[in-house]
Amino acid sequence: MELKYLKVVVFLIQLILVKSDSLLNDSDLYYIEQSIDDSEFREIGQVNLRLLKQNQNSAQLQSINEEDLLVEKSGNIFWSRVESQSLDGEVFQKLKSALGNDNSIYRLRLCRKYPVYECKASSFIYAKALGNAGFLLNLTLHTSINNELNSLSIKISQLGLKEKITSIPDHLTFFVSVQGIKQAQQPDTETHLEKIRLEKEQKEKGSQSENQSFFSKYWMYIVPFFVIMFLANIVNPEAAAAGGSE
Amino acid sequence: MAKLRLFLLLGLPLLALGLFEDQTGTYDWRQQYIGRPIYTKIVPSLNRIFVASDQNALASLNLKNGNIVWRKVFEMGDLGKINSVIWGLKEIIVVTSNGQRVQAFDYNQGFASWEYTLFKNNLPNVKINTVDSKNVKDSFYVTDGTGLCLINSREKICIELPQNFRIKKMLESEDGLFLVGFKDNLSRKIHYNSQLTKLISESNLENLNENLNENLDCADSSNQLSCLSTDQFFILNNQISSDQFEKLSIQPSSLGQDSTPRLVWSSQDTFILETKLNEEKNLFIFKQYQNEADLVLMKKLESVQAFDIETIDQKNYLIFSKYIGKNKLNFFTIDLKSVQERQDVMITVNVQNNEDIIELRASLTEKNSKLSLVVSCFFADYSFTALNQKGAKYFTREESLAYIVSVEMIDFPLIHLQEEFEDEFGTTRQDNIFTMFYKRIRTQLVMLKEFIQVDLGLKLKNLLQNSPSSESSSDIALDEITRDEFNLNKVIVCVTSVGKVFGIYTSSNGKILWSFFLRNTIPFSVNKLTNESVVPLFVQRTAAHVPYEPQCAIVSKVKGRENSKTRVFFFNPLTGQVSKDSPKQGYILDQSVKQVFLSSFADSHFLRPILLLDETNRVHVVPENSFEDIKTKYGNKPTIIFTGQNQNKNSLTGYSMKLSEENLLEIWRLNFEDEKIISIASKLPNDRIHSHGKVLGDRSVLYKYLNPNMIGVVTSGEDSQQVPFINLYLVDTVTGSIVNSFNHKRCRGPLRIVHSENWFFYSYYNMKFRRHEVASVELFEGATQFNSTHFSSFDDIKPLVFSKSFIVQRGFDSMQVTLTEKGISTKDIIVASQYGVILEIPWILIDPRRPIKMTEVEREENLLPYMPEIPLNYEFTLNYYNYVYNVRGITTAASGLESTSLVFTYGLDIFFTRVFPSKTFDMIREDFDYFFISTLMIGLALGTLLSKKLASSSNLKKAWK
Repeated sequence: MELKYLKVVVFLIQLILVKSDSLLNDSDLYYIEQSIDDSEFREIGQVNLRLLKQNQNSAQLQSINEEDLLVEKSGNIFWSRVESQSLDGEVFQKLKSALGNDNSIYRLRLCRKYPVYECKASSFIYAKALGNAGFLLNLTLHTSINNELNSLSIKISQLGLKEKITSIPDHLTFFVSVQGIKQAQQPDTETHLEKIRLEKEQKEKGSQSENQSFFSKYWMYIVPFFVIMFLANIVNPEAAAAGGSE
Repeated sequence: MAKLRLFLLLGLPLLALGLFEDQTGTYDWRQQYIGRPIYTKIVPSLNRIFVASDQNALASLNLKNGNIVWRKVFEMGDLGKINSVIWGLKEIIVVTSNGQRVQAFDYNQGFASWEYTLFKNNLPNVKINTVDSKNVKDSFYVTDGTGLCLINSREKICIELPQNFRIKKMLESEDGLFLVGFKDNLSRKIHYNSQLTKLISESNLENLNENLNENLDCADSSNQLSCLSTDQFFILNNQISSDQFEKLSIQPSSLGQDSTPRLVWSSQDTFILETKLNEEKNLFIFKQYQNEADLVLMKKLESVQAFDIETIDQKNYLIFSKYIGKNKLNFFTIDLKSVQERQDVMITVNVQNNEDIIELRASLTEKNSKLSLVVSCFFADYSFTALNQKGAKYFTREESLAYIVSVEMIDFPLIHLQEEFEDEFGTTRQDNIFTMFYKRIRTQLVMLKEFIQVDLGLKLKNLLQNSPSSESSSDIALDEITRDEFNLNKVIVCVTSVGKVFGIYTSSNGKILWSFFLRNTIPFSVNKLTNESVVPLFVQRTAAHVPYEPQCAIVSKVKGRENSKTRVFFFNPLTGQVSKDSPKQGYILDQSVKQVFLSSFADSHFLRPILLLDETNRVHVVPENSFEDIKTKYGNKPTIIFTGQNQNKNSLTGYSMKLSEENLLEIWRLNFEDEKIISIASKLPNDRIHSHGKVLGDRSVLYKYLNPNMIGVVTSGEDSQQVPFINLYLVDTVTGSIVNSFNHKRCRGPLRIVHSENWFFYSYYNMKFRRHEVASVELFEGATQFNSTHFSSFDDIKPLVFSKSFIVQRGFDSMQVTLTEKGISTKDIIVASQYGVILEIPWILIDPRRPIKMTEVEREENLLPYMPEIPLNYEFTLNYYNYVYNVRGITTAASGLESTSLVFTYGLDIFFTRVFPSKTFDMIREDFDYFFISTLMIGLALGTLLSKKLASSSNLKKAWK
């Protein structure tokens, strides 16, 4: 019951954020631009870095199952699905000819228009690989310490491939995730000191047991020895005496 | 007593763990340097020459042989920068660290006798003025423009100078101390008493205001300040105790065409002016007669290389040098009183290098009214020489070796035998199976002959002489050197930032085999933040391609208008000669270049051409005749990508390689926003990987993430709360994607990083805990391998990342990873730590998989439990007491023995040694008992034969029974 409420609240917050972000003056709003084999780029979609992060976080929070359309999960990474704009005739033709060429390059870049127009990160994939992947791509956006976009990584998607798409669709599909910078480990002095403390304690315990007297420690060996000696004497007193006289 | 003896005997093996004196220097050597002298003093009576250098070193050299008697090396960088030196009567006074510290050193042994902290301002590039006081005994005045101090061994008296006073000159007369400078655009003179207890007067210098600006050119002598007005050609002369200036005019026509002469020296009535025209230096000696206002030109000295003024018994002498004909250098002495040349004090010397003199220091001594002259010269190729009056050279030191920027270790060829091998497989079309068979037999006979003559002969000789083989270090002919049995001896090709190139033999204590000087070399600046510059050196063809010669290339900028030209120079690394068919001065490219790299393909002559990327993103191939060869090779392959670092925008860019006239296509971009790139680590080009995985304790395999395109990029910056941090990005250079990234908060450089196989290791400074730390990162694919035959950057592999950081006791100046022939031995880290020690840190200590709590499986794998500190033990030290300072780089190379890696460090000093990261598993120890083993073997063999015979006879006897 509580989970449902939480879902509703998260949805409402997202809705508000989406509304406010629809304004273009958002520095977290990036436009996806593509280029096939030439130097000219065309805008084909947009992603909002902040929203993607929030989606990812809320997805992790809610552990949404894999059938969910909005966010897909693979391993420990949550992907948001972003559809591109429809491909027009010219782009369609370019893509078609590029798919037949081994060295054709399909490039994507992320640009923002606010505060000034600038392209932050770009990467590429061979156009043929895009065709083989069924026109689905995984985009990973890497961010730095101040949530600035560092780089874009394009990989062939392994997601949502229920049936292979062989012909060029009217739009491309991207599964987008954001990966922030990790905090590096510091020298772990605390655990080490704790370990030393435990070892010391164990040593002290050990030394306590060492304080026992010799007899109390080894009585289990001494007593049988004496018993055997005693018994041996009783069983064969003559032989012992004879041995002594020889 | 017997017990005590036994105790001592048991104690002895512990001592044997150390290094014996006779073991030092068996294969390691060190050479010490000083750098470019900025202050020099020759003292013939002590047989010493004292030098303070731009490499933060103060040294005393033996005048006769140039050996270092003592040397003090101050801290690296600005902290140890020598700002000023006073050659006092008893001590050397050195002001360092932008005037923050002053120290006095004894002339004899270089002992520090006293030290003070002076000015706390620490202004970068501050000019320190000093005066050796005549009024106060053994005392010195030092000023940094804001404060003024009188120092001696007993006390330090400091006063503050008036605010906004910009000091120009400091002079001392009998009346006290005078400071001349500017305040509020007016020239001022401040007069203090000698003890600095009283400000006597502060006045304006009217005449100076009218005529001169801040770039005023002044010279001073006792009681007198002279300044040159370049606009109107007159000298303003001032007796320092008066405020009035006297105008002395010069005939402008007498100075030739140079409109900006400089006043370089002045005395009561003599003035020396210097002009420069087309790199030619001329000196003009003017004199003032009977207080007349016009100066008279007494002498014009043309094409002067360098000069110095020496004073004996209040007589001034000008000593200057001049090339008379090719390779003939003359030193003349002029008595400045009579302005006459002293024919009795003249040096004529033959020099080989024929280079310009950057600095000349002279020392004149008078004995029985006879003058004798000793001079020291520092040439443009950074060689330092001292000469005596007879023109005999005392010594020559190659100080450019303190400025090494690029190093490669080159193998020697097998020479004649190699040619035989090549011939064996048929070089001409007429060769058929029979001739090739004949050649094969012939080669093998030659090899047998070689073996008997050379190898056995040498071994027999050694056995007879009962001494290990040792080469005589004095006479090595270049063409006699061939590869030794285990390829342990090589040529170290060192390129210096001044343009001098050396070939150093790794044996014979680092004997210089050859050297040449590339004039007008300017290094490329690779990192403006760390002030790092480089002259790239590439090995294009090794000695393995007989009959082709080995070839190396040096790429540098050329001095000239805007320094925009680029030079590619080809040479043979074994002889130091210019390569055949290449121009003597190298190929000159008119464009300036932003990236240089070696082609991944070789042309038909086994030569890998140099590819240059110019500012307009076009690729040039040098030598040009290789263009067609490699174009066809590049043409059939998919796109090759490389990175370009954009300094201004803090971004990395990747381009698609195309060998055509077109500009390159940008295919990826990485953006670091406000962070600055401080270091980039890539694999060594000859890094060998032996195993693709690690066998764990449970016999399973953990596969390494061996991405050949991965580099480590380290950036520094500040977060929104102005807290400094450093970031490490592991970047795939084909796709421009980040494989992984780490952030270290409250940390800063100096940062050193190395990358090999699937791991990175780096050092940094933790500001929060005020300690030096190191971290290691290792990447694995996991228990299965994505593709066992080849690696593609386009594959979606998410590596497992292991990372650990450790505390170390000190910071590192430089870092490198060991290299071995097949990469089977473990890869240790060689670090140059502060205080001159070179350490070898075993990999096992920095393994990021060191567990905090050990399990049975990990114990089986021989992992060490995690400890937060790496203890830098004395056993790790490679250079025992041979400390080397200010190490800027370390180069490693593989030898023919898998266990042995060669290490060469360079900085102010150079040091070479061999390391054995996995101990000497493929070598027999020196004290191996051959006699014992052979007797044992023979004994065993005889025993076996004998027992066999006895057994058979006893069996026979048994059968008869």
